[in-house]
Amino acid sequence: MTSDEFKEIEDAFQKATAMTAPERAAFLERLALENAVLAQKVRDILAADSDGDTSLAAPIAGSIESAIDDIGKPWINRTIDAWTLKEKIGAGGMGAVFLAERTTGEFAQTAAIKIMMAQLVDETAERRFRAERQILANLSHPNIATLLDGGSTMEGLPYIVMEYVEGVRIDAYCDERRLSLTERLRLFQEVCNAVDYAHRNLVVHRDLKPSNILVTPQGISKLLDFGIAKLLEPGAYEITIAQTRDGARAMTPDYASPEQVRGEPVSIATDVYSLGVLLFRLLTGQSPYGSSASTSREIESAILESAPLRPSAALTSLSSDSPAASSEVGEQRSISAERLGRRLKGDLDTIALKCLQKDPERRYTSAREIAADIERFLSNEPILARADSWFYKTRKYVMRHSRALAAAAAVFATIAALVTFYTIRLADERDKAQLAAEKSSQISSFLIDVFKNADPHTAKGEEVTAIDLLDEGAKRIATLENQPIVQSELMQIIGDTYTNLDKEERAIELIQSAINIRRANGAFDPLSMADLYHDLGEAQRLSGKIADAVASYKLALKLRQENLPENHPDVIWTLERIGVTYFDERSNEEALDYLQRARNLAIGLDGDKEEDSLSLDILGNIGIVLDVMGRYKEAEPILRKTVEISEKLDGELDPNTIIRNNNLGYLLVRLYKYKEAEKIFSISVERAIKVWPKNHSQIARYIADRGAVLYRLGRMKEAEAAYVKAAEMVRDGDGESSNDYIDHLRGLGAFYTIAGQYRKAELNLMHARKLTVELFGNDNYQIPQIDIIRAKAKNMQEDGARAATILQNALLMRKKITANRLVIAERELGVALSLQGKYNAAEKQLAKVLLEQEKARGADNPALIDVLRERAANLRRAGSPGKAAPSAKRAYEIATQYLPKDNWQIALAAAEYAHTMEIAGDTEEARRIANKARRDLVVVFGEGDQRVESIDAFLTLMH
Amino acid sequence: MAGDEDITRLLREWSGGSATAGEALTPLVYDELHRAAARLFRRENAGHTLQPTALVHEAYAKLVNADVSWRDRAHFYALSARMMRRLLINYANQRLADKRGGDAARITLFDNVAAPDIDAALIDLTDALDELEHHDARKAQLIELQYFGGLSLEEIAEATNISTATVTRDLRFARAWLKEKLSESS
Repeated sequence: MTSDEFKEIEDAFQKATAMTAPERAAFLERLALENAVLAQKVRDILAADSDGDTSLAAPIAGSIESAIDDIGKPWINRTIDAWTLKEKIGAGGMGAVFLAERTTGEFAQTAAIKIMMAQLVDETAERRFRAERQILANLSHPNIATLLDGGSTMEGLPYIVMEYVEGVRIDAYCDERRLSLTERLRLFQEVCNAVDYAHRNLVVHRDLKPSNILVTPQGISKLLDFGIAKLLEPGAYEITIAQTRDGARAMTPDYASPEQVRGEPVSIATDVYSLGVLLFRLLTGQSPYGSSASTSREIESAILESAPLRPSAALTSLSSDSPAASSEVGEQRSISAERLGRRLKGDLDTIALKCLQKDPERRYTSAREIAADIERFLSNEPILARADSWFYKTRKYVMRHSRALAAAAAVFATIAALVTFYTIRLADERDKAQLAAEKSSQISSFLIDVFKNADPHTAKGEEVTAIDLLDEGAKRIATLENQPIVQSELMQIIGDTYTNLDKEERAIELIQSAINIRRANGAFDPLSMADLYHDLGEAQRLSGKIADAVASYKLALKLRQENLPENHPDVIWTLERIGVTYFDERSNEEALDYLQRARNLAIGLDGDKEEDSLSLDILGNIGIVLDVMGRYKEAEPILRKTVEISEKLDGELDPNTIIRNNNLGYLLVRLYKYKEAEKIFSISVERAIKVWPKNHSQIARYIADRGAVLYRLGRMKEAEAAYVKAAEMVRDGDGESSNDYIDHLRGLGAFYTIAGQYRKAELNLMHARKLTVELFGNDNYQIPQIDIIRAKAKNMQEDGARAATILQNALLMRKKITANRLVIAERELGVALSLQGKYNAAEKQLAKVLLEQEKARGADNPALIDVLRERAANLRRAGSPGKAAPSAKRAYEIATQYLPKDNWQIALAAAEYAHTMEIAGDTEEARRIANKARRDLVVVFGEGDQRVESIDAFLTLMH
Repeated sequence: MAGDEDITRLLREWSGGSATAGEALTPLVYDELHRAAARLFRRENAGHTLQPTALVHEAYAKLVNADVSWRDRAHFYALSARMMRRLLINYANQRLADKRGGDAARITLFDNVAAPDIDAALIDLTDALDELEHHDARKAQLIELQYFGGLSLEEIAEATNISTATVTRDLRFARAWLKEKLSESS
């Protein structure tokens, strides 16, 4: 029904109800002649009108009846999941926070549970709450309160469970313990690093203030309340000016930045400002705007209009107003007020004021830089707050952290940086002041135009995204044609930002224009040209234009090599990029060559230079290239070394270290070193649990990886536990409606198939299939992958007809099946044919698969075992034991050579081999081999398994 | 915790259009609904059917000063009605999900137990209400106020700032439309 139809129906209804019965009958008859459907609808509604309203009132009354028992349960002492609520410890705009204890498990654990009630009237509130949960789930840092769990209460209210921090506000903690200036600065550095960690995970806190930073009795600071934090997610550009106005409303004025007060977009610089206010407080006990502003409105106008005091000046003015108050400030810092003032003067004044700049672009570019400057202050080195190379650093920062910096933040930071750059240049080149001023004003008016056009009012009420700003900038660049250098620099910056936002085509176009403009104007500063070619190469590589990318990188390399020391990091970086680009198109030899050259320069020919993140990345990439090339033996020591260095350099719990560790695990599986691989995966699981939040899919992945090794080792019970655990984690973390969960169900199904537990296999596979169809439709790639496993299970149960039907359907979606699984599908098709008695067709099929596998993997490869064994079985069934013998023998020999001793996969090959031995007349040896295979299989699959039983049948027949 | 005065002030600000006040008010009103439910449950008589009206009035009596204006009071009921609607639908959905999701080791648990009629009926009703809201948001609000908030015609007129005659007329159609919709789907 459209809304127009709805209106027509209502119109007719209202007319009809105002009429007498005969009038109404006539009216409806007339209406039926014009529009029979409409008339019938109106009749139905009129009929409903005369009934009572129980169909509306009853469900409501009934549901209250059934819900009231639960809805009426008091919060205190109520149990939510495993947590019992103990007392209410806070209430806010979103709902309430309770102290909770875990009621199950061996030891008592406390936590804070935040229950969200605002969702009942406001749907956006729920979105914000879920955003907070998402944000916390991505953060794992010793100085940030951890997210433990989350879900919905029985009445459907969302909640999150957080680490309960028993601590004191940071300002009170410092004062109560009379911490010295140095101790305060150390604590503040810890906070800066936690905030920086959040920034690098794309989160801006937006509400940093002492009540959100607690210090535990052990002196560890903890950041709380990401309730209004913002997730700066690259790829999701919903960061708009309109939305951030909400944030402005939700914040607390004392620690708010000018842009928050104005309701303008927030960025990393916003938190930097709040950290500045915090630093000011910890140093002086005062507000940067003095004590005269007291109402919210006064504070806001001070933030916007007044220049902040210098911390030392704030102290001076306090001691002239109230000497008692100022000496108390000194006492709290274990120092006299006078000496405190002297220590603040200079560097600490500068650091605080740099944080408190009104213009976000003039503040520190990261929280880490504040911490670093404080470190310099504490070790009496010159601080960087005054340094002029800010533009350069900002641009490098944006480039290094391209993925990590949010779309909007990057745009604002880069464009703003450019303005600063020209302002600084103005000061630098006094003799060219006139020229610089012109440039500066040209840039300013350029930016004003960009922002004016991006303003929602002029842009026809649509929301403005980072991409819009960039597009507008790119369009307006043409207006700068009489300033070629400025123009090309802007093009490069906007181009790089496009690359970061996955708009490579536009990036390529802009950077290419920048190069052309510089060429046309004879502005060949070689290193700037090299930067341009390097950036162009990256955009081309990401857009899949490999040959172009290699050409650009090589130009950049040449320029850099001619103008920089041989082992300059930029030279090494370009070499590494060329290697990675070759690897993208699987030109592995070339990739290896460039990576090796980069590596040699990075660590020096004798390996005498220290490893850093660049040299480590290069090493890891070399290992991966070798692994992909099948040069496992060479890859092994390299991947081992990568893990070892990463543990030292990044720490054992760094996500990169864990990923590198796991890469080593996969390689060891390929080398059939199952036992060690199992240890490696166990380490990964153990570390991942510490790093990622509860039920994170990454942990589940590692647990399943470990399961895959365990079943290869024949430890089926443990493998089952691992697979089940992994699937449960993903279900509890992401819910059933996720591709990850389907993956894990499929893995579980594959495991149960191998384990011979066909009913469980089928249940899980069918569930995975059902979810796939519901979520993604029945032409999703998961469907054929699931069906291939189902077919294998049917074959193992000797139901060849059913297996063949399933496989034929799966193979209709051939294009959606990965190469490895296609091999399995083709092989199982051969088995299915054989089981149906079509021996010739089966032989043809299996010989084809074998030939392809030999071509791809070589004649002597464990990947051939299964197909060789199945081929032998087919020929035996066909009554040609003579032809079967060579295949059976080969399968058995490869298995014994590569797989660990007594492995069940050897036993399967052995069972087939025993058949051919018997037919060849060597019954003694056949019996010995069959008995040994039986023993090894029983250990893994148990007595009832049909693989064991078929050996029994064979042994009985021999008697 | 907020005292009576705060609640009255928040109510006034919220009636005046402040979204922040509405947000701050929600948990307070929710808590009170929650407590009212507990009280009513304790003194429930056999055979006595609970109405949302009882809950909302009970909560109101505890929460708000007697000297609150008629208009603010109407707004309080409107807020409670919205909350009751969400709360009951949440609850019905949750119970249906529990029926499907079931016990702890449920990797392989697929049996779909039929939902209790009452939850399904409520979900049908709110689905129909959502559709009505799509066509005519005001009429859906009237239904919400009457059935989930237990407001009288006069109170509805006050809360929505339209005449009693229009409320009567609109409600009659909205009710008939919904009933027809429900009979269509059952």
